[in-house]
Amino acid sequence: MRVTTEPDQPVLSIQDLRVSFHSSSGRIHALNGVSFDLKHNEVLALLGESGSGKSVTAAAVMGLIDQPPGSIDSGRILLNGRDLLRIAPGERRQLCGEEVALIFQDALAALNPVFPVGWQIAEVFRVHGRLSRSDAQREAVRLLSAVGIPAAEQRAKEFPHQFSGGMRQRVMIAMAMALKPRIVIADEPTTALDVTVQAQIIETLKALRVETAASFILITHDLGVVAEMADRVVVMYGGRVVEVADVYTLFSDPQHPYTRGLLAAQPRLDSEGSELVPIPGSPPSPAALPSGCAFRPRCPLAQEVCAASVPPLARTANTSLSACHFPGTPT
Amino acid sequence: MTSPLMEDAGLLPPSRRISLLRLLARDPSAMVALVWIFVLALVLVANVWFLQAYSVRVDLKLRNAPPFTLDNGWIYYLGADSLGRSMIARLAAAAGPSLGVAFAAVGFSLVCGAILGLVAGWMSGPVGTLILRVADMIQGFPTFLLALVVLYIFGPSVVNLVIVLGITRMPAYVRVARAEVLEIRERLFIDASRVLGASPWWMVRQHVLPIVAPTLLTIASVNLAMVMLIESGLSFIGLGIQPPAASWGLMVAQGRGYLSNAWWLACFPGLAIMFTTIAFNLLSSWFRMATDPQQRWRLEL
Amino acid sequence: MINETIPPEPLLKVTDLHKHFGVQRGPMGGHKSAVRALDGVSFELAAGETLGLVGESGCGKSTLVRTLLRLGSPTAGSARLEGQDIYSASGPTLKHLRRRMQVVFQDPYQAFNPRFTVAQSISEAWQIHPEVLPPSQRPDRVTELLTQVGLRPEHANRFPHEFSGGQRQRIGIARALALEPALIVCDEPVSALDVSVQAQVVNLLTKLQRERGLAFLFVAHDLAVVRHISRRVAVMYLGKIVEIGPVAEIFSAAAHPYTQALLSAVPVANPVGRENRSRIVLRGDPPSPVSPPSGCRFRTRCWMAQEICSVEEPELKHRTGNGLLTACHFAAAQANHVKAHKKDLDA
Repeated sequence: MRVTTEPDQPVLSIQDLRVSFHSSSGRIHALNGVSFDLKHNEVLALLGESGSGKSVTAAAVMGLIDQPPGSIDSGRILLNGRDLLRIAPGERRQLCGEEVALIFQDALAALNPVFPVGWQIAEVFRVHGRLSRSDAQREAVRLLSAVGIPAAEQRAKEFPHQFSGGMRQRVMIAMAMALKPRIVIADEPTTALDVTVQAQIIETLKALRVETAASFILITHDLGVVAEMADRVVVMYGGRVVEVADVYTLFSDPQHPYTRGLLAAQPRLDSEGSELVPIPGSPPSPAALPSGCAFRPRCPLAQEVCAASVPPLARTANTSLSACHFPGTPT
Repeated sequence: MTSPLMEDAGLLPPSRRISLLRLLARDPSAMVALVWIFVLALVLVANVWFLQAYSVRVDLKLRNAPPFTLDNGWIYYLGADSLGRSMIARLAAAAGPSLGVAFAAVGFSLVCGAILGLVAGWMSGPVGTLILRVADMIQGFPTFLLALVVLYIFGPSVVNLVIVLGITRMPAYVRVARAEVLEIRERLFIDASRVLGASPWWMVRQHVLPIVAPTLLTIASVNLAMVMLIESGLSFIGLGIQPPAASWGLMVAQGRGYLSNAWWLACFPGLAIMFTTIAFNLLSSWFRMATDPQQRWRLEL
Repeated sequence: MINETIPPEPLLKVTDLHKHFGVQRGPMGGHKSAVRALDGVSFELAAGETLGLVGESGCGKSTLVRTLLRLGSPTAGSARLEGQDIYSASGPTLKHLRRRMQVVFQDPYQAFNPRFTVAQSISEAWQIHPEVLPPSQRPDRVTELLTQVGLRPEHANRFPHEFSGGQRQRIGIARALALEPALIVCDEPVSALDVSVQAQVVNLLTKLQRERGLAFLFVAHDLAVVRHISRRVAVMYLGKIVEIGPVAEIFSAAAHPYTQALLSAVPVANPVGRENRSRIVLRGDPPSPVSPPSGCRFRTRCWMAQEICSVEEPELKHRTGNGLLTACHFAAAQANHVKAHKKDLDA
């Protein structure tokens, strides 16, 4: 049963989520108090590098974290006001299955190699008991053609390995959109693809966003993709949120030193020859986070207070949110 | 404290370089294994020194004398066999041939099997296929039967024994070595080596062999027991170690008939085989961990 | 004309390189279809310059890297390094050739033997070529190289798995420098790294080039990085170079439609103006390298294709007078991709 929300209420609200994993070398703190909201029909980008916790966040929302060795230590995930972490698994499956969909990064691994793709898409309908077998198949073909796969009827009978990388990604998108979810989480949807194919996928996702009025969480490390698609951006580092801003503000007036560093380090197609400004060092491993602010060892503004306490996520002068003791200071 | 080491952000703490001996000390099972091997070494020395004499002294009054009593003197603490010879002395005397034949056979099959496997894996093509087919053929014969036939035809000398035991066990090494080489050959660091100008011989020696060696040693340690047992069977029917020389396997085989009334005749040599093979298994397991930098931390913790 | 200066011999000269992989044999062993991974590639590289090589999957750039490094022999064609034929060299000549041309691989995790320390991995170069450096000087040289790539001397005794991706890539660069080559082939050296770390490695490569006069063949799929580091750029499609020329011209006035499409497809890291940004969106997938289209290979996805394109394969030559060599019958210098019209291809 679909629950409707007021247009200005967040569709998804993550509050102070903490997730860790037990491993032979100790406790790995993957998420250390992640909070953000997803609004109706918006594209929210989760921007971060390796170890930032962006994929773990998606996994937590989808209920894909195995509780040993992982553990959700605290926090809430509110979907339409219901806390996903505190309802029974059956209810969660039901609630989530129709409302939230996930597009995996590696389409080849996520699709079953021994079943035709049309069958796999139709399975979504069958599992949720919605349509008859023939109706499901018809709908699957329609979905394939809606995501831009030519000769959909014929291709629905083919197997995943017969598709190219870009086509497989479209199949994943079709599968995700099958039940008309209100939230689509796309985990690095373009990372493994060639740039021309990436452009096609971005166009497809943009068109879908307009057609279905769904909200998207776009997980990526690519600033270009963020700039093309996102409305708002959540920047993650070391398992925490370090900046939340509207996409235009993020690119023109970044508040957090990490965001500034990322923008400066990215080679731009329109800049020529000038020296790139890298961020020294490497992203921290979640198994060995620095004390206080996770970015401190690489930050040009670091002071003693940065080692002493974790800066809270607070509103800055330009209405962004930033987790820094010295937001907005030029680096 | 040095300034934030920015290049080190995210780096794991440095592993301390511990000497091999101390690494050994950190693995209790490997230490126990080492102790047993030390005992064996002592026994071999003692045998040459003075125990040899006792192992041939027949004393029919002490036939099948039971163990764990000092009534007959310390030399008979583990009992006496069906001819009244001291079990301790016999075990010591048998240690040499047992270990000698087993090590020689296993060593032979290890070295030759490794070489053939490396060649088969690296060169593939017709040479590789030929080696593999020959290995298949050998593997197709029941080991015992093959050994029987060969020793019957060529006579049961120690050399023949070692050769036939070595050859019948070789296919396992050939297959495993070949399989590992096929996989390693495709790895990027082999390409990197080739670009540096390495010859195939160099790449096999420097890169492939150290990776393949621990696996082959593990197989060797398992084979040790197998070879000892096969040798015992052959000795029992007279085609292995010839009496009056002894091997543990022969002692087990000879003691079989006395299990109900003189269990120590078969039991102690059996235990000797068991402890020896377990010891080598443990050591090869330790070796595998110690030589793999990514697994070493298990010992260093 | 009489006093015309002879241009110096290029460092690397590749002529009509072909590499076909056999795919099937017919039942009688007759018909054999082949994957034509490289189908006639020619270019030159001068000493001390960086040639960027871009293209998408299936274009043949990985095959080109492997073939140039002699990790496989070509089906046809030749390549000369410092005048020496790469593929006919053997014995000591080949060994010498190896010293002059080195590589940095894409995957910093697999490029090292996990059982070798950093020092051992780097020193292997000198063990294979003992005449370059006597054993007594090797530890000091390792320290020197590590410092030059931004690592510390203590790192020499550690194992690869103890390092991050960016650091491993630096070690890879140190190893490539060990024999003091003239040319380093960089096969997607920063693709596997985080963005904040990519810039470090790119800066390191430019610095080393400045200091040592190294030439790079920089193979990548990230056009922005290629633009940053290259002096000239070559664009590959389905086993052939379709356009090659100075970096500024390629990025601002590319004449080949594929180059234009490629440039247009790169997402711009600036949201301003994104609603109005038009881009060329190519339909469909690249055709199979087993049976490429007749004539111009790009014609099946090209919006300018005419009949001549299926009949006659366009030659790679000067067509637009700005230093670019283009393989297109209709090479027209258009303005850069931002101004290109959006075109959805009709099949």
